[in-house]
This record gives sequence, structure tokens and C-alpha cells, in this order.
Amino acid sequence: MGWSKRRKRSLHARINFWGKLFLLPFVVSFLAFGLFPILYSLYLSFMEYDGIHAMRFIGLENYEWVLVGNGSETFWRTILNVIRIMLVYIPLNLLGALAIALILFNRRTRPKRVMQVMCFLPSVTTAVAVGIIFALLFDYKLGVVNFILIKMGIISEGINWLSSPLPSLAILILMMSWGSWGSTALQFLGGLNGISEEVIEAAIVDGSSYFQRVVYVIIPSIKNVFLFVLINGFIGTFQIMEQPKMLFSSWANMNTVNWGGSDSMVFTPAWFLYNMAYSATKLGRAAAVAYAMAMISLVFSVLNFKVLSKSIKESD
Amino acid sequence: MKKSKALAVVLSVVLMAFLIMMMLPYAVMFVMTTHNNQEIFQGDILSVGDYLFRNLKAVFGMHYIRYFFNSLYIAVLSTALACLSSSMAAYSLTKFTYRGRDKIFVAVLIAMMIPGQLGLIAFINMMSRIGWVNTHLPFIIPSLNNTFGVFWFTMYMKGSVPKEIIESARIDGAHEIGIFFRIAIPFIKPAMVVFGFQSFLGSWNNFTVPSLILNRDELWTIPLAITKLGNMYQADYAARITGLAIATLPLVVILSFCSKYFTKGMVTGAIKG
Repeated sequence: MGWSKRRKRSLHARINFWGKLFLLPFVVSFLAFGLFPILYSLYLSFMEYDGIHAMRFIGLENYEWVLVGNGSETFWRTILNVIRIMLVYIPLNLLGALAIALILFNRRTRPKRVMQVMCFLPSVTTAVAVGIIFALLFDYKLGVVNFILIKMGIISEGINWLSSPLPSLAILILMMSWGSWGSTALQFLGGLNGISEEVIEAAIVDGSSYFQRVVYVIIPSIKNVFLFVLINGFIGTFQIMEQPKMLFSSWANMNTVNWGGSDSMVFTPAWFLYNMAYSATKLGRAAAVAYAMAMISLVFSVLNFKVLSKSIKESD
Repeated sequence: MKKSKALAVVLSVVLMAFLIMMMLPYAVMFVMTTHNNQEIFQGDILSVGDYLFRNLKAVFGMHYIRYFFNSLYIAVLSTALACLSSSMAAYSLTKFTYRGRDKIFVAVLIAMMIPGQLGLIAFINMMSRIGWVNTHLPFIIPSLNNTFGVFWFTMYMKGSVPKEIIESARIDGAHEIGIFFRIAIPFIKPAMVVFGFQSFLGSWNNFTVPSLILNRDELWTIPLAITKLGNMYQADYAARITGLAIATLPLVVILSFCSKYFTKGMVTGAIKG
């Protein structure tokens, strides 16, 4: 009796041992490459460190520089830039993607698979490539857009898109939307496919119009997907760096002023951080910038989450 | 009824037209690769030229293949590691019971919400301190840490690998590792294809970390090479654009091959209403 109990216990222990073993690679790498860098970054943010000489503790001086000192003008401008971009980009992305998803959802839309691949294609393109491609498209001399506009007689000479603030901003937002409409639409489509048939059919039987069905049945049913996409949109926009950097790198054109400067409307927080990381002289400051960025983005996300889930609960 | 049928067809056509327009950047880019510098500067891009071969020769004459190969093997290795580590972790979290299991899952969820750039500075500094700068290791080994992957596979495994099969395999004396690879993994194939693709994508397109880690140009990955195309081919715009086009091709190809699994996986949706 005691012998079989012992055997049972050791079998259980053996299984649990393997269970923990399977978890090990992830946990170890998470601690080493996930948790530790985050804590080390926090530690660095209180130091003066150039990577070569010893670190020197300077308390909140880096944060002072970022938030109220010499770096603050640039920092807060990047925050303002991102907010301004989001105000246009997020609704544009959501509405466009929703429209695409609704059309894809319809039985009569064909050929479905080809369309889905075309939707997804822009989002798999390397971000640096996208920036350059759009710089090419809107180039003053080489660009297709100017070429077509001139051919159609709308303008007589090419518009210098990338050398003035508002057109540059518009192109950046267009580029971001181009890259995300398709994949966002597919995410919505996933949510739409999860709606039960009966609910929709009941609404049809009740004599509702298509528009009414969309607003009162379909959209509430996918509110989780909606929220997910919205929050991800906010978080993601904060981290955009490669597209704007390449768009304004004058890679493809020698004819336009480089608008990606730190005093421009397209300088994003992530870009600011990247520049500091690249120059690698004030690592402590860079770490403080990263944390300041993360704090603000976190506040933003939490606020949005609260506001949105409240409004969604109220509409239930 | 007829009106709504007609409307549906019209909308379908509209969507198709819209999607074709979205493909315009690719089309323009590929057409540009068939021209030489002069024709590009003249703006003559709506027709297909015949300089493609010459452009290809110019591109490959400059180590391009090496960068391609770098990106490729890094992406393959990091995808394999990410898939393995994440699926194993998910397997552990869903099919075993031990103390602290649920707390670990909550920790994973919280970690998913933290922006990656928070640890960037420290990560770069760490890599330089342990001498991994100017190697490809910083892009491969850390892919074992993929919180999204763990989340993804956990959600999938909760519903799809039946415990009874596992237990009967154990009774039959199968080894735990064998059970994982021969029983659990086949059940999650669609999830793995989707995740594998996203992981490959992320690795291939990664620009930030490689640009901060690599100095020697023989180690470059494709995104880096793209930004340095200007230096590589200088005034040869045609070669630059051809290089760009070649860089975007592999993912297009892989996407078309995986599209069946992919659209099924993505569209049936892990996030339900």
C-alpha cells in the first residue's frame, strides 16, 4: 500500500518536473532579456554614463533634463506630434478598416483569398522600405504622384510634398494608414466571423436596414476587437520610428529639404529615443527619455481604456 | 432584394479597385527596376523598360547576397527558437499543474503591455558588455523571450490539446519530450504557422536593434542594407530601387505560400466579441 502511494507521488513529481522544465527556456530568457534590461534601464536613468567611464549617480537630473530642462522642448514636441498624428490616423484607420472588413464579410464579395492577401501585403513590408517607397512616390522630380497630376493637367509643376509641414504630415499619416488598413480589416473580419448567425438573421427578419444592422448589431458585437485595435493603435503610434525617419531621409531625393529634424512636426518619441541611443554618449539620459515616454504612453493607454470601456458599458 | 444584391456586387468591385490601388507602390517600385537612371529622372515610369538585368547585376555586385543570407539565417533561427520556447512554455502552463503556475501567466500578461523600447538602452549596453556587439547573437538568443508567443499558444492550447490523449500516452510509457513533439505539437499546427510567420516577419524587418549593434558591414541585415543603399550604389538610383524591390520580395513570396493557413488562422480570430 505504502509502496504504490510512493510510486504515485513520484510519478506526479516526475511529471511536474518536466512541466517546469518546459517552462525553463522562456523564463530564463525572460528574466535575462526582458526583466533585467527594464530594471537596468531604470537604474541607468539615475546615472550619468557614457558607456566607457564609470557611472556617476546624479539622481533625478536626467528626468529634469527631459521633462522641464533643455531636452524638454524637444521631448514635449514629440509627444504633441504623436498626439496630433493619432487624432487623424486612428479614426482614419478604424473607419477604413471597418469598411473593408464589412465588404469582405459579405457573402457576395469575391475573390476572398486574393483580397485578403492584398490586404495583408502592405503590413508585411519592411518599415524602412515603406518610408523610402513613399518618399519615392511623392518625390518632387521622380515621383509618380506628381507625374500623374501633371499628366492629368491638375497642376503644371510638381508639388514639393516633403518640404512643407502639412503635406509631410499628411503623407506620413497616409503611409501609416496604407500599412495598417488591410491588417486591421482582417482583425475586424475575425471578430465579425465570430458573431453568431442567428443574431444577424433576427435583425434582418425584424426589418432593419443594412445601416441599422451595422450600427446596432454588428459594431456592438465586435466591441472587444475594436477596443483591442484602438489600444494597440495608441501604443503602436508612440513607437513609430522607421517610417518617418526613412520618409525624410532624403534617400530618394536630392531636391527636398530634410524635414525630419528634431524641430519638425513628424519627429516621434521613438525617433528621439533612437537618436539618443545611436549617439550613445548620454546613456543615462536616454534611459530617462525611455522611461518618460513609457510613463506617458502608459497614462494614455489607461485613460483610453477607462474612457472606452465606460462608454462601451453604457451603450450595452 | 435585388437592390441589395447589386449593391453588394458594386461594393465588391469598389473594394477590389481600392486594393489594387493600394498595390500601386509595389507596382511603381517594380516597374522602376526595369529602367536606368536617365529614364527614372525623366519621370518615364509608366512603361516597362529593359534594364532589369543590368540593374540586377549592379545590385548583386555589392555584397547584397551576403546581407540577404544574413537576414535569412537570423530569421530562421530566431523563428525556430521563438516557436519552440513559446510553445513549450504554453504547454507547461496549460497541461501541468504546479505552484506559481497561474502567477507566471499573469506576469506574462503584464509583460505584454510593456513597450519594448523601455529596456532598449540597457539591452544595447548589456550586449556591448558581454561582447555580443558586432555579432548576430543579440538577434537570435533573445527570441527565446517572446511573451506574445506564450500568450498566443496558451490561448490556443487551452482548447485544443486533449488531456486524455496525453495521459494515455504517459500510461503507455511515452517519454515527456516525445509526448510534446509527437502529440501536442501536431494539434497546434495552424497557430504555429501564423505565429511562425509573424515571428519571421519581425526578425526580417527588425531595424532598430541591428542598427545599434552592428558596425561591420559584412554583418548587415537587409533593413540596414536598405538604408545604406545610398552609400552602396551612390548615384545609381536604379540600382538602389532594384535593391529595395529585392528586399521586399521574400515576404511577399512567403505570404502567398502561407496564405491558406494564414487567412484561416487570422480571420477566425483569437479575439472574439
